[in-house]
Amino acid sequence: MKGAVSLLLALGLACAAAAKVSAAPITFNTALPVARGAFISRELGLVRRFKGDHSALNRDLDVTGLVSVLGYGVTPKFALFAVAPYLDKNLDLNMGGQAISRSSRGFGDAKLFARYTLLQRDERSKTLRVAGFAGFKAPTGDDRQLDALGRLPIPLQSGTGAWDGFGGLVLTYQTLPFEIDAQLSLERSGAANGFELGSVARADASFQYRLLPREMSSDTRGFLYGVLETNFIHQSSNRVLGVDDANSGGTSVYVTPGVQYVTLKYVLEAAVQLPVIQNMNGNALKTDYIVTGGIRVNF
Amino acid sequence: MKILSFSLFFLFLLPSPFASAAETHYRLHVDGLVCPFCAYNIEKKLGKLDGVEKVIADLKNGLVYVQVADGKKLPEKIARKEIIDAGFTLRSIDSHVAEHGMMGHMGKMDKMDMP
Repeated sequence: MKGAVSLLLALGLACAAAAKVSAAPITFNTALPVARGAFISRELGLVRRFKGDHSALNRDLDVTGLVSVLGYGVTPKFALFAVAPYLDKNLDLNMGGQAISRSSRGFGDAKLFARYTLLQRDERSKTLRVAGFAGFKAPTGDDRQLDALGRLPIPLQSGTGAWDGFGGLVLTYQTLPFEIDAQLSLERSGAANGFELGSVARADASFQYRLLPREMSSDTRGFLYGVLETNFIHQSSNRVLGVDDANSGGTSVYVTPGVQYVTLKYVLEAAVQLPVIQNMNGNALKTDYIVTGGIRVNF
Repeated sequence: MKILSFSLFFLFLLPSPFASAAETHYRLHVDGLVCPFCAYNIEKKLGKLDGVEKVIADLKNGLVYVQVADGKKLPEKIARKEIIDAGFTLRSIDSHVAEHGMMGHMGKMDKMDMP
């Protein structure tokens, strides 16, 4: 379970970080600009299901959540983002032949990060951008929730109690008919409560193709994009009391088809993230699917 | 009272004798402008400038049309700053004084001046 939930946290970050402008990727970042003095907000709902546990515990984990993101353009090249997730986690397992359910609900750890545009090449009806981003996750979520069995394990808590740091590079190439994004990122977790999430390395790619309108006119004000994304995610094992947890971490590859409707003031989007490779360590839980849907608003 | 309300309503529909006969229209060639969500900030920023009456982005051609009130101007320096602040690049700007509405003028400029 630890591996699976920590992977969720890592992915939650990525989903939240995707809250930028334009026909941006759904599961990760973009290098497209936030105008000076402009705000962007994103509300992203997600449902994630883990199952297929073949151990005696027969665990099933469902996570639903809402991730709120607020972005602000300090300068045309420098933007700040704040991310606040609200998560509802429910774990069903078999313990000693008895079915047990444990759950938590509440605001998770908030994240703050900055993004700076390192390269900008604009031409008529196309742009190439490269941006670096870095930030931290603060232990704002409750990491001391209890149920009838006692204190919940850290991965099931709303917060981890630890400070984490993350950073990466993102490239965006956008034209009128399509957009390509690619991102490399690393996240290093701190330790708290004798627990340390494994570090996460990601490589992501996104291709967005304008489906409608097929032919543009001078007064076209909205696009419908088809989106196809891939996510390579490697997470090292968690550490519990200084010892590697052999049943956590691993490598996953996801394929994510989705759609986006982009207008001047808002973007509507939905996607399903499907695992195609999951080499998880030990009996770490595997993801069945992740469904996301959301709205981004310019103001 | 009803008669007065109707009279005022129809009065507003009549062309104002103080309305300007000539408007200055600017056409901004904006590089990097490729999606509606991005265009919003350009329209918003230019629309806040003194004298600007209307801003319309033409994504297909990477253009932004700006209509300013009679006697007002949109200096290139200010337009460039606003475009940069929105995150894009102003390649060039040209202006034209016209007596028609903006959309009609856009069509005319397209036919005459499209690069």
